[in-house]
Amino acid sequence: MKFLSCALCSSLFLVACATTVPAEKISAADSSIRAAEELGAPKVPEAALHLQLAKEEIGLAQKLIKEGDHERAAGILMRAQADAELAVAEAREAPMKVEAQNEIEKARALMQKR
Amino acid sequence: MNRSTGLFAGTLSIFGLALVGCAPVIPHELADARTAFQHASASRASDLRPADLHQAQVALSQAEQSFAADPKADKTLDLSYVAQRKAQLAEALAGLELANQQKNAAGASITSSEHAIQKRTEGELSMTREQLAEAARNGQAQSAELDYNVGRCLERLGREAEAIAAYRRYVEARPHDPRNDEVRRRILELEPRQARGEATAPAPRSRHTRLSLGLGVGGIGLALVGAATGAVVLARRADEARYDENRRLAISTDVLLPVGATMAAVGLVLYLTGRSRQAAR
Repeated sequence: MKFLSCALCSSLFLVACATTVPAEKISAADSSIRAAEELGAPKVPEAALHLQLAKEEIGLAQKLIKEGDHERAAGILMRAQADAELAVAEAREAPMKVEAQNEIEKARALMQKR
Repeated sequence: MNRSTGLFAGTLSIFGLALVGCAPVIPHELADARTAFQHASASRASDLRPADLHQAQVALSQAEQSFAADPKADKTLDLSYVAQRKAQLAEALAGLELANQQKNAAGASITSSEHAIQKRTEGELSMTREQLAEAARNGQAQSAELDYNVGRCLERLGREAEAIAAYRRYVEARPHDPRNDEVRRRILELEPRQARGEATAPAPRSRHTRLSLGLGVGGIGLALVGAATGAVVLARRADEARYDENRRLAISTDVLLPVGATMAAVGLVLYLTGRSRQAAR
């Protein structure tokens, strides 16, 4: 009997651990969102879209956690993380493309002067 | 078509339709993920960001496995969504890498062109100066055309003051030359650039600044001496034998400390007012 109750408690603990959303997942997605904002994602259309999606998904995940649906929240957080990472890359890519284009034009103009 | 063939074809069609009806519908998330991965594979991500593309492939495989296990599960949709984003991420990072490479290549080309142009201009300047020297040796009047060429070379080398002087010589030598308007325009364009260049050069210390620094440093020095004499007096205050000496030192402290502090304060005020006046200018 004692063994059975111990086994039941252990399995309940394991199930609870498996379905709880770790705080690191939320903070990782939050960090990516902040990084995207600092890199100027709101000013780049594609990045702004993915940033907005990530924010909405984090909000939804927090709501699901409050309601106790941790499994669904984990899936939504996965989406938020992916969206935020993409926003960061797009926010870095856009100004680099502009800089590269400016340098190419400057190089062409100088080549003509040579 | 005989009756048995028609019956066979009809049965086959019904069976085929039933099979299609039973096949799970591919969710749009998974379809989008497959398209995004194909797109990324065909892009420069395959050679510029192979590791990121591989991660996208792994994510797509996980989504496909989840779809095979449970096509309608939320997990399948989430994994498909993530797989699509991973493929887009690989493509965006490849775009970033490519832009960076292009920028670096263009930068190297700019440096090389600037170097070549500078070298050529210096050669032209040297040649023109030789012609000027030759004309001077032969006792000929300096050619205004040569001044113009010198001005052009100096302008390209960024030596505005010398270029302006050469252009002015040209205008003075040929007051009625039709090119004078253009040369005067060049002078007008160069003058603000020259002024900016002079403005950015560090200004020599003004009399005002020297005075304020002198007062400040002198004041601090006096105050330090006063503090030192004060410390000596405090240390010897119990020594009755040195009463007179201590008294003299105490008087020196009473004079040196306030005078030094006042001088330092006046120096600081003068320095700050001088700086604000410069900034206003």
